[in-house]
Amino acid sequence: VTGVPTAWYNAVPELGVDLPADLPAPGRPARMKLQVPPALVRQEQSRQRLLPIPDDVLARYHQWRPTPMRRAHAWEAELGTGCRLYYKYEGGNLSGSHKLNTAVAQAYYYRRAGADRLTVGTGAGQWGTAVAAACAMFGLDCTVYMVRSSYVAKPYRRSIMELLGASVVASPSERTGIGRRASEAGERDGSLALAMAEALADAQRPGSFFCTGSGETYTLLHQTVIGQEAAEQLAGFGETPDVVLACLGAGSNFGGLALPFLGGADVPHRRVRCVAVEPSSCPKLTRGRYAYDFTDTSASTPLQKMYTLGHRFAPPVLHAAGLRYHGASKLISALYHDGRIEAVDYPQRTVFASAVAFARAEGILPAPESAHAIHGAVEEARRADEAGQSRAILIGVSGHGYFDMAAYQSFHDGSMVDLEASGEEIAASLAGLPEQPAELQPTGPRS
Amino acid sequence: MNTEELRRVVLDQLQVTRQSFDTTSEPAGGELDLTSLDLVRLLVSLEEQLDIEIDEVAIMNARLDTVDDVVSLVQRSFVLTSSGGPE
Repeated sequence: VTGVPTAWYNAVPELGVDLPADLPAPGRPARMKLQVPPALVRQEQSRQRLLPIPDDVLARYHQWRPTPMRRAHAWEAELGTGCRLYYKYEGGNLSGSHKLNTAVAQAYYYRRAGADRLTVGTGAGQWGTAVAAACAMFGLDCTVYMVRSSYVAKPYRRSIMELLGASVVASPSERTGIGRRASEAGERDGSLALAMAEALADAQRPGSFFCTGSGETYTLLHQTVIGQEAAEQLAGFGETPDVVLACLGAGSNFGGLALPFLGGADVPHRRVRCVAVEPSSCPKLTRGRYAYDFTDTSASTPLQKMYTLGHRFAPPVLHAAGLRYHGASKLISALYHDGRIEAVDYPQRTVFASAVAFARAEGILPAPESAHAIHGAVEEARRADEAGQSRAILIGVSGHGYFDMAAYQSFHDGSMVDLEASGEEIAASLAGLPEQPAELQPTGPRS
Repeated sequence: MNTEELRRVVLDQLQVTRQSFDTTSEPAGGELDLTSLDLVRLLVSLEEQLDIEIDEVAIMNARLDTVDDVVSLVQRSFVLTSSGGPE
């Protein structure tokens, strides 16, 4: 058993990443309500390699960290691979996912900055649950806008959030203007980008603030406890991974595991390949465009440079709802654009087949999101075996799948279908990108 | 540091020239074109440059409709945290 990291790993200065500046939204209101506590901005602007974790946050981390790192011996045997497969499991906390790592930190900083209520948008429900739990810890009210398709499919996610004291609203809702307009336009299932837009609209009164679980660089920072622990735990096995795989929604899970392995010149893990695994129905890195775009569907947020499918892209309802987001975080996008990380995408039925095999072999039911990384590892191991190589493969299992039984049942009874984003859908959505700065024309997908 | 000097520090951070800029301008509009996150970044940069700490609650509840509002917020923090505050 290793210790819990006492500092977050600040990858930006060490990796020498030059993040493009955000741009203001066209036609935004002149009067702006600040939404991000200065403490989080200080973390983003810091040039220190390690940023100390406050005692109150660290005490909470000790409730469920360090998280387990295991070698998947039974699964290796089942696959008949010569590779060593390790997985880092983040599902063993109240929220059931890695999201609690940043939720606790953000609730702490928002509380210290005078917040009495946080609003969030959530897709699969993991972020909503994590913030509900963190708000309960730090005495904050919490309102969660949950993508309606998930709200319907995962009633127990709503239950746990309400048990934690949160108010849960299905999005699109009647509570915000943007929600009403979406409903009037025929939107029924909702999307994470729409839920986030509603949550932001509901955070305009004093004391209420919108917080985000992925995408912003400080959320990736907080998640680096995962990768730091993993590096130390693997060292205990006498291993340095050849490949690290994690699913990608916006990037906090992937970044949290991968960034400490990408490291800098003085970090021995720097040659590790890091692979983001996406659903074929929402392939922002593999088929998106590197361009300035809005972070939600309201088209009123600041513009961030990211790999995006377009803020109007409405991914088909898939069971890995946490991956149904149109863009990747600025940091992950910059790393991908620089060729420092890789990305692949897979359709959901093959992903679920691998998840079921993993569950039977290892005794852990992965979240559908995490199942993407698991399937990515199957493919990596197969290619290594074909090449006659034995690789150490590290997989981020970001959460459990016990609230996702409707999805597993759908796979089991054969009603699940693969929904791949068509080229026409992506092109139509990208045509709605905001006007790009003249000196920063969008860049197409990497070949 | 007096108010005028502080105003100049803010303008330097904003990288705008006095000649073309009115400090009653809205930070989100015109020449400045700041996002709300940019405003927080500006305040954090001013903290570092001036070696002061601006109260987090004051920042989150501030009405920063003009650049002079930013100057005023920093000025109040200067008075609270430094003996050498603006006149």
